[in-house]
Amino acid sequence: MMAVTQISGNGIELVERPIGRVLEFVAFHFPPEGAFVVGWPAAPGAVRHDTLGGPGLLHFAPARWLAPSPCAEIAALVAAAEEAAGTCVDVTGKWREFALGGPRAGRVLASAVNVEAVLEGRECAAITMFDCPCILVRVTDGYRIWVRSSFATDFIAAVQSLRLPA
Amino acid sequence: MNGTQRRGTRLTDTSLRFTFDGREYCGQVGDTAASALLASGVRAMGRSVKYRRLRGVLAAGPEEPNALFTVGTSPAVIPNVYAPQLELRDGMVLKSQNRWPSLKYDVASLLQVGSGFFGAGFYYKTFIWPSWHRWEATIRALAGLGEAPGTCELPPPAVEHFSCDVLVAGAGAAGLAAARAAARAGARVVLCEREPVCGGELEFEFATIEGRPALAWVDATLVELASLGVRVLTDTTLVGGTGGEYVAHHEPGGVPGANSVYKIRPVAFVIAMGAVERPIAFINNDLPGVMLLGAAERFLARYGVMVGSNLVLFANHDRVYAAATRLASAGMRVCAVVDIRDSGALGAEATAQRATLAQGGTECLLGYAVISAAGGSHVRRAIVAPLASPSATRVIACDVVLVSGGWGPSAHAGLQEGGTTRYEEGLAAFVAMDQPEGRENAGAANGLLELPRVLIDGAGAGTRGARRAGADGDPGATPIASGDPAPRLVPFWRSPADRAGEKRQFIDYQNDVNVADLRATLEEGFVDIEHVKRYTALGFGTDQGRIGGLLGAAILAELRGEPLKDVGTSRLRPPYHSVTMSSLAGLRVGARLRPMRRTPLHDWHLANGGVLEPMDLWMRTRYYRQNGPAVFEAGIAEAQRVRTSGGIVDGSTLGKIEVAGPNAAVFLDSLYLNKASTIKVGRSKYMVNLREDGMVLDDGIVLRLADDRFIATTSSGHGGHMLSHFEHYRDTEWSGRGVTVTDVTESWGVIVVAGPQSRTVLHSVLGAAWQPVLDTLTHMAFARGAFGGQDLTVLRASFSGELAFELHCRPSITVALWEALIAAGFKPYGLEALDILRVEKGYLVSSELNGETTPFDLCMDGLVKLGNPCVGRDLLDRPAFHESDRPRLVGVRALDGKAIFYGGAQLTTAEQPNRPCGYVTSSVYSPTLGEWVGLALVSRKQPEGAVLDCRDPVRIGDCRVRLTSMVHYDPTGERMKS
Amino acid sequence: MTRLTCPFCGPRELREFEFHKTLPEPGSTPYARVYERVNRLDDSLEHWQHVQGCRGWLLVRRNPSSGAVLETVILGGGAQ
Repeated sequence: MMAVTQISGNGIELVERPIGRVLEFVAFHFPPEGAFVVGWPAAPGAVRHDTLGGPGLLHFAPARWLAPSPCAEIAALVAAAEEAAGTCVDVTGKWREFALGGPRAGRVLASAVNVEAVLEGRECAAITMFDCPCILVRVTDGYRIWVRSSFATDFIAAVQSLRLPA
Repeated sequence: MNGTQRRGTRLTDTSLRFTFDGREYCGQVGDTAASALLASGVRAMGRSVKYRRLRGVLAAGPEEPNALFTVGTSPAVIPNVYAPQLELRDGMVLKSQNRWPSLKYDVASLLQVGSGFFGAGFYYKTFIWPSWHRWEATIRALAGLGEAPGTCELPPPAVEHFSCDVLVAGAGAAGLAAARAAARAGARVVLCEREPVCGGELEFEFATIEGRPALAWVDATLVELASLGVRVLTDTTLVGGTGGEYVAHHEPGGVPGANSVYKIRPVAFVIAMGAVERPIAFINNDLPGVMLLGAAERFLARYGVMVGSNLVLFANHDRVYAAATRLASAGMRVCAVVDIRDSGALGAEATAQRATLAQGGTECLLGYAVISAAGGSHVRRAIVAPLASPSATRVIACDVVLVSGGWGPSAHAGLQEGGTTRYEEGLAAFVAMDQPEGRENAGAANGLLELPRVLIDGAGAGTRGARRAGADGDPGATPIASGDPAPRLVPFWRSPADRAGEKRQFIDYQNDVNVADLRATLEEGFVDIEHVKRYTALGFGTDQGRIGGLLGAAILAELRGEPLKDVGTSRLRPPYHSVTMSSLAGLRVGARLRPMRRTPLHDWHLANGGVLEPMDLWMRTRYYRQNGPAVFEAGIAEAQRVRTSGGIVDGSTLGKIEVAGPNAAVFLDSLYLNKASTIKVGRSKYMVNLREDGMVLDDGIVLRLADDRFIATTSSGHGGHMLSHFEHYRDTEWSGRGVTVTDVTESWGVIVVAGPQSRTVLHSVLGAAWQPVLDTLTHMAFARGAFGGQDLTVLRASFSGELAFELHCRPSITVALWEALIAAGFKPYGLEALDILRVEKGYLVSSELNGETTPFDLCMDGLVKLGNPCVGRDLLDRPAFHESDRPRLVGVRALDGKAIFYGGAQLTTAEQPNRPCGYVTSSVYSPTLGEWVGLALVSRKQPEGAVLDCRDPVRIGDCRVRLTSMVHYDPTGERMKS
Repeated sequence: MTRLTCPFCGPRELREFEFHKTLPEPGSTPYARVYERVNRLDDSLEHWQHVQGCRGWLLVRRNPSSGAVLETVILGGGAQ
């Protein structure tokens, strides 16, 4: 699936990005026990970037990491972790990925949450926005948002219907 | 009406036209409804709620109790808009409220004749005989404020959540000083101001700040704030907030339309919301033409409106002389200044101003009070008398009486969460105390009125706020200033009056509460201010006691013979002033009221005749339009087709939880009545969960993918609940380790293929690779493979009683797989048909698994006997679960094989016709059996075969039914095991 | 109290959390564990779930009279 622009205009760009296999790695215990593999994003809200520089492994909930479209490196990290400390679940189809950009991207999110407070001290946050469960990551050119699939259409409609005064 | 343009700080030269009560008027862009009407000589702007007395505008702010207008034409009207805040636009249509048929001639004003009956609390004592309902219609027509809109075209507000270092509410002298100090110190500052312009009373006060006239200082400060990055929000009121988050409401133009709601988390909060002027009560103090002194000043300075030609001023403090001087210099004739104090009470500046006024022809009376105002439809005369001998009255001809009894700090923002106040003698008002860390009052809100002290207070609060947020910069020097003198106020609440006169000394204008009402309330035994408030309605309404609250408390204190500080005022609550409902609703309006969850096939259903309905947050197809004229016929047709050849249904909403880890099996064992650990890899089992109190919680199929990996399915309606149940158990009660729980509901689309032809159709769709698997797959077994390059699981299980397969596939290919099945000849069916099929087979859904049924009630004794220790087992033995008349699940059919009965119908015996022994949980018309069949929960005392009366007096009437086995169709299950 | 600090997510609005139950007294019978609770005015141990955030389960020690939260601990990872 190609990247599909959902909303463009008024300083907002919401683009749905293609997403392939998606894994959730779940550790047996929180805080994770034993030594995790080197380079594992262990802190709450930590994000490990993949070889392309985008968010590759997200610690978005206690003992739960999201690996969207994992590159080889991230897949290897997850496989190594599974041996010792938890299980890997293939959740392909559960999350849809969006890129929110444009000068008013922050204002879009501010309609739902206090972005500054939510992302304080972390790179990713599990948050409900416009009644849709999401994972939010700030990236250089805006935000990356993973939305639970069954809510995705509603999420797009909510952003579309926002009235953002100049 | 006036040919020349007025000049005012807010006005432009462009004219506009508007309509008020059907008549056209002119105004200028920048005018509010109140200012333009006053300028046109209109005095009467409404009538009061109870006595329907003619009223004019009293205040120049949202504390205005009388002039509330309805904007627009029916049915798209917006009622109760504050006239002094409502900015006019060309062509606006306005109406006054509370009058019929017109403002001038109001039929209900004749009620004043019977006013003796309508004192405080009259509705507790009157209109009881012969019956309240006889009077109800009349009272409803007279009650209330404004016309309810028939349509609403207001857009949802813009909502914004943000943080800042220092939030300053109020952009008067204190607020501007606070914002400037904080911003200079390096803090991120947000300043909100309810008026469209900043400055507060600096708009008209005689003041110089830092060597400049006050308004020039305001402008310069705003420029500096902008350069320091301060966000200034005008037309924005701080309406409330708790726990560190404050809500500000932006309503541009003073009328709902393009509203915004801000939710702000500041590190520090400075409340600089000023003080509200209060009147003094005298007879007929509610006549059009009686206004607050500050209101007249504001109408003059901002809108260039002269509220009258011959003014009488009435006050108890020094500032009345400054005000009189300003009003006189604008061209209005100040006939008299009536000061209740003695000459010794005046300060030097006031004495000098008084002398100048007297030289100009103003009668300056000391130790006098305005006893009453008179004039019919508006003020024409003021009757004054010395306080020493109130009967020695004199008449002064005038057209306006401007009254000021002092000011009460706007401490709402600091008191809405509770808190204490202290009584400030110099102000005769209450000031908030005991603010939590990071929040403080400044300026008039803190009980200070003199400009130099106000600026110091504001700058100090702003600096402290900045420091708290970690901004260490230099806040700059506090501005040097001079302004109006200290008020030197002597508390005075009402002029002398006899009992008859007290009935027309108004305290709360909006609810027509007068001094006589307070006296009567006390006599009836309501003493505490909170009781008095509720009995008289003092402080209710849109002004929330800002005009009459303190006045009422003071008069109550006088009548009780106690000091005001012992009486106190009633508790303040948000919102600070009226907030339109659409702002409170926020984004959750219309289609956005609740989220809608969609399956991967959602759009296909909509495009192909599916009629969807909500179930929890999901939208599910009830039936397909092409199969019948309505749901009943379509459901039957779809169900019949499944039994004769087959069909497909979207089961994607089925809850699916993946449980994995070395202890997955043991974990699941402890959550289900029967054991998961005995399921072989590649097979599944029907399993039942209990709640911790022993009731049946849910049922579902558990698939074993591997030794250490399972998928537990739950019923669609219970999905989220079961997930939480698993999570909670794992994280709290479960003492083991090595288990993970993951929601994979949205990771798998589910298509159920059911019917005698299902295997054949699947052969053709899934291809040769799947054929051997499909042929050998036994009941409750599953196989995993691929379709279209994506994972596919095929589970042989049946909820319809036919040969059936559940396909679990990734959402990206669900539509393709579905369409392939359609192309192969199967048609879709919906929930209605699903229900028919499952009732025929006696399968359970939430009607039976309703949280009130035990496993014994649901004939699961066999599962209980397995003895698996699990959640809920502990309480299964209790006597209540084994009583002899506990319900038991049975089938039910009409005795004559023809009658119709519905779920919810009650079942009774001939012996006890008024005491049901059970009820029908589900019922459907079975096309296969040609009659209505159902399931029921009936007392164990009724055996299979018993004949009962089925009672449904409201919907369809009664019939007779017999109890049967739960499985109405194919009791041996041959069809699904073929 | 309009915010609760989730040990994983940080301070979040109270509406993101769902109260589940007050813990039963230690050593209660099975019946008491399900049905009986002791109301403590000043010290209540409770289970809350961060349903609109990380879905983690929290053990919260709270003063119900003042609303002050004394301590919050996360219990194992929540399912997603």
